[in-house]
Amino acid sequence: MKLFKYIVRLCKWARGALVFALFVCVSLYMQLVQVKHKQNIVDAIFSSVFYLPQSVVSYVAHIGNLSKENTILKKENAKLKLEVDLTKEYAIENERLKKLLFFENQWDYPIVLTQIIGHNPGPYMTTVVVNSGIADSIFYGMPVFTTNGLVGKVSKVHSGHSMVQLLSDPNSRTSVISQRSREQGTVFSRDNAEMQIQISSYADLITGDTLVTSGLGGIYPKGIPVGVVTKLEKSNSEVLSYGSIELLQHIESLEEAFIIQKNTDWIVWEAE
Amino acid sequence: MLKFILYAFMFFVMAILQTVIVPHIKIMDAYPDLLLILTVITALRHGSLAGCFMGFMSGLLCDVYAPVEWLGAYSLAYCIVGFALGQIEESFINLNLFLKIVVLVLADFLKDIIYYFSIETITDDIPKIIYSLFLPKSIYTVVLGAIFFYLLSLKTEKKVEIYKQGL
Repeated sequence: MKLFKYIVRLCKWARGALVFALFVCVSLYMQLVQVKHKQNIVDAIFSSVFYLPQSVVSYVAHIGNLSKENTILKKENAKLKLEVDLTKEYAIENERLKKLLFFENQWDYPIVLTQIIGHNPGPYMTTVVVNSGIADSIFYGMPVFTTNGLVGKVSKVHSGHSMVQLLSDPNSRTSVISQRSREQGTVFSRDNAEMQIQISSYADLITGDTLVTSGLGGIYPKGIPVGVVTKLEKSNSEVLSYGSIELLQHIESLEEAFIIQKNTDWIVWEAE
Repeated sequence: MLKFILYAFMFFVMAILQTVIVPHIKIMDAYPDLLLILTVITALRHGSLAGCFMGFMSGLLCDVYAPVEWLGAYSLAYCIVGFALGQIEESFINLNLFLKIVVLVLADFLKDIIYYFSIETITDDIPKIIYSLFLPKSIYTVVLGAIFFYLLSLKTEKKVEIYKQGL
C-alpha cells in the first residue's frame, strides 16, 4: 500500500516535472528568438490566450479614464467655444476691414485709418476717442467718416489720440444738401436724442432723400453721405421747416473710421 | 474541472487587478505582485503541476506587458517558482500562516533573482537593487499575501469544522 502511494506520488511528480520542463523550454525559446519573432509571439498571445482578459482590461481602463477624459473634454470644449467666438469676431472684423480696404477715396485728400478706443462717459454719446493724434498728423477740425457715412470731426488733438465730436453732439451743426434735389439744409441733434434737418419751407425735400455734405461749412468736403430723411414736419414758421433723419453710420456700432487729412478752410480762419 | 474553472476565473480577476488597479495603488514605485500571490497559493494547495501552470500563465501575462526584448523572462521565473513551491504542497506539509508568509517572501526573491538574471541586468550593485527594487515590492506583496492567506485559512478552518461535525 505504501509502495503504491509512493508510485502514485512519483507519477504525479513526474507529470509535473514534464510539464515544468515543457514550460521552461517554451520560456527559453521565447527568450532566445529574434526580436521581430518576439513581437509576433506577443501579438499572437494577445490575440489568443489573453484576448479576453486584455479586452476586459482595456474596457475597465477605458471606464476609468472616462471621468478624466470628460473633464479634459469639457475644458477643451470651453476653449474651442471661445475660439469659435473669436473666429466669428475676426470674420466680422475681416469683412469690415475689407470694405475699408476697397473704399474709394474720391476726395483726393490723404486719409488715415483709425480705431475707436473710447467713448465719452455719460448717457449721451457726443464724442469718441480715436487712437490717432498729432503723431499721425491729425489736427483740429479734420473730418471723420466711415464707408457708410459721416461720423463727425476732430475736436481735440493729443499726441497719440484725439477726440471726435460726433454729429449727434447737440453743439454740432453740419451743412448738407439733398442728393436728389440739391436743396441745402443743416443737420443737428435735438437733445442728443434725434437727428434733425432744418431746411427752407419751400425746399424740394421728400422722405427717403439721401443727404450728403454740402462742402459749405469749410470743414467737410462735399459729397460725404450723412443720412436719410425719415419724416418731414410741417412748421408754423413760413420760412423754415424741420425733418427727422436717420444717420447712415450708426455711432453705437462704430469700431474703425477714416480721418481725412484736410485742414479746415476759411470758416476757422475767419473765426480766428 | 470545476476547480480549473475557478482558478481560471481567479487568474482572470487577478490579471485585471494587476494591470488596472495595481498601478493606482503603488506606493513610491512599489507595487504588490498579485499574480505571484496567486501562483504561490495555487502551488501550495495543488502541487507542482498546477503551480507550474499557473506560474507560467502569470509570467506570460507579465511578459506581454514587459519590453518585448525580455519576452520569456517572467514566464521562466514564475514557472520555476510555481514548480518549486509545489514541492511543499500543503497536502504533505502543513504550513502555518507565518511559514506561508516566509514562503511568499522567498518566492518573491527567487522570482526576482531569476528574472533579473534572465534579462542580464544584475551586474555590480546587487545590494542596491535589493534595497531599492526587491524589498519595497516584497513588503507590499507580503502584506497583501498575508491578508489573502489569512482569509483562505479562515475558509479552510470552517471546512474542517463542518467535516468534524459530520463525523
